[in-house]
Amino acid sequence: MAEVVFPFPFPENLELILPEIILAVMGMVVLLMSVFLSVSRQNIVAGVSIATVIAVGASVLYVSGSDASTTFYGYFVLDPFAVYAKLLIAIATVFAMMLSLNYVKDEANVGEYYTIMLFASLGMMLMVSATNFVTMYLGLELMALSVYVLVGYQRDVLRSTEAALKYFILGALSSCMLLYGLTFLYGSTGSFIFTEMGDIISNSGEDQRLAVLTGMLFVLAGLSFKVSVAPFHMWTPDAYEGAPTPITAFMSVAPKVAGLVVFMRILVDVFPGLQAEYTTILMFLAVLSMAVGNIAAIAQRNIKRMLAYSTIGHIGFILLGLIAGSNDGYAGILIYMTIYLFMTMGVFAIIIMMRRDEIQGELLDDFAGLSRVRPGYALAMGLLMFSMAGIPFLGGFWAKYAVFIAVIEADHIILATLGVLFSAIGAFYYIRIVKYMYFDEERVSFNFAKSAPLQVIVVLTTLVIVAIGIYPEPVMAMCRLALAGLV
Amino acid sequence: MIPLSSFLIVGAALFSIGIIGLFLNRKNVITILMCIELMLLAVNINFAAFSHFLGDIGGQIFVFFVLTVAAAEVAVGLAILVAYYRQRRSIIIEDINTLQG
Amino acid sequence: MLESAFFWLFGGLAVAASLGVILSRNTMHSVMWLILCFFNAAGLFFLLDAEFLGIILILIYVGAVMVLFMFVVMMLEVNEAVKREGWLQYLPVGGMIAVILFIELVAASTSGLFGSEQMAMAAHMGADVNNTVEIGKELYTRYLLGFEIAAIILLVALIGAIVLTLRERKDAKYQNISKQVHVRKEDRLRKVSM
Repeated sequence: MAEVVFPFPFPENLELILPEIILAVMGMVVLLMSVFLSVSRQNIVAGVSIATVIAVGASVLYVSGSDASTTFYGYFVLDPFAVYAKLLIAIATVFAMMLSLNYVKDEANVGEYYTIMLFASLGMMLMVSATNFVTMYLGLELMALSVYVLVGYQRDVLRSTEAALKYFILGALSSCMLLYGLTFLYGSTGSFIFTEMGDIISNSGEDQRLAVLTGMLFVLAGLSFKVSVAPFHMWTPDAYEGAPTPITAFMSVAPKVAGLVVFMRILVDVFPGLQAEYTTILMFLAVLSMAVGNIAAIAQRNIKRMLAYSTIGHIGFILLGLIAGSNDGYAGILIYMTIYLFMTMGVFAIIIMMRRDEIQGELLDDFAGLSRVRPGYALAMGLLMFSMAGIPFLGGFWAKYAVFIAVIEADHIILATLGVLFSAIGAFYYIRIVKYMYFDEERVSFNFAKSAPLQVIVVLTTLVIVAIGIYPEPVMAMCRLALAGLV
Repeated sequence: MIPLSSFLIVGAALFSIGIIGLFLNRKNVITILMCIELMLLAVNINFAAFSHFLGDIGGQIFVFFVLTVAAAEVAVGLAILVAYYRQRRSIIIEDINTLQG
Repeated sequence: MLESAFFWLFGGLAVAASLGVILSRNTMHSVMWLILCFFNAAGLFFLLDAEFLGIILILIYVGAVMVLFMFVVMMLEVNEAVKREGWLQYLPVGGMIAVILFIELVAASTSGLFGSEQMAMAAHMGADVNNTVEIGKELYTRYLLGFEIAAIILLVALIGAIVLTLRERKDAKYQNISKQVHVRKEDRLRKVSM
């Protein structure tokens, strides 16, 4: 047997991947812990998982000070852009775990629940650090498989398993589309690395154009599925409604952050030569998403379904930043995602508190008269809803402001006008909830679940939204700094 | 010698047949999963063909990863299907209704 | 010449078998057609110098994944009649979309560089090149990170499949290991004063 000569030495700068290693190891530790702990002490598992994610956030900050930025032969990158996205993912995961504390207590298999959540966030962290389609695809699938399982976690509830089944089928289909498009890009360039592919595509001649365009269309369609852009949003309402509520909160924030980061990297690195073409496609997708999201949300009676359409609408606004294609536009996306994270988590914390013995607290009518029973929560919910609607001097306003200004600067005045129009339509259904809470008669007796973690989340997110609303400069400066990795 | 485009046409045929299958069998989840497998097979044939004609082994390694992920996906998908079947006693999936209230 | 004959055999049978998958009325027959399709695709892989992939396609796909499919089909006792429901209703739309897609994909597949002479000629590897070794060299160096992630994906699939389907039967008796280990002597032993 001839001696095998490896073409590469052992990878250097492995410390950059420390956060991911912590997540992977602790995922397995948590799995084993839950087996050895007795049923009454399973809450230790939740505590350890939350501590792990906080440690991961800290370690991301720690390794971001390192001189090197790539490892695994350039297949993994930790630039400021990835660091910022990882921090958002870690915050979203911690919030979602805190929301789960009371929710999954009664379910069996608590340990596996947190293990899979840890692996899902591992997948997302790998996605945002991907410089190539190999790491990106595998990270994406790790995240997607984990989220399918989490959506169907209440296996004795038909709604949950049905949602998981629909989400799984459409998710698998979207992966196929992404891969099929990728084969054409690989065939044209002979590489999986974003920047190498980008260079070859920019310099390729007319004869390559059809294959590259076909590849790009399929890749954009596949990615659009994952971040629920219309017309690829069909799975979103069903999956949001059927999933356990903490998972709905998780999947409406963290995978969206990871997906959009990958979206930005691919557009900027792989398709710089096709900017005119992809901008046209994105305009169509953005207008359709804003329209579908904001108009269909009005007809919903279930707040989780309503928030699903609201997510689609918000993603439409976020796409405006990609269309602008400028630094301001990309910074606008990061600002939007940051503020969206806090708003969404706050709203879901209130929805989970509304859950009581027989009522899920998911219907809009359940909010009627909330202001008289619980003025504090009604105020918080009201502020979050006003922020989602984009009322000035709350966080949500600055999010929309950042992307609208960027798109106006890029001379897409019509798009900006449409955006303002749809955001006004959207304001209607957000403010309708405020009307229910303050002006309608109480229909059912409220019996709030008392839970310190949920109260902490509600207070914290509301304060953050108000603070950003009054003084947005620090967040905006942070997002501009994070862009250094992208452009 | 067989040209590259012949392999790509086989891939395109399998992918398109997979798409038709999704429309024809949209209620039977097991057949839908098999159609997705067909589409993944088309992807793999394309990757292997490009890998051979470009003289780059990266394409074959990507096929290796796609096969791994597809196997994991089938395991999770069939597990979800079994959980669904236990609740509903059938594997018929209702149409995905986008604007359902 | 012989190579072309094998290409037409494998390629033709793969497409024919895939039509069998979507058209057959019985779900079990669909599974069988898919197995035939995978065997022929493995043949195409051999023609492309990808021997390792051809073998794992047969070992993993036919040997494990398709058996899992068969297992589930038998376990769930799928009703045959449902399969054709709404068959003709969606045929025009689905058929049209797929035909347009096929034409488009063929156009892309034969366009430019892909259809040109330059790409059309690729010599086969010599007998001294070991495909498995070549894959191994790259897989454990350049694609090492991907390899590690793939391992975790399989772990998640394992945990996920168990969590979703395992249930403890109420009529069976189980050991409670934690209870056995934590047992104290007072639980089992009672001192009786005489």
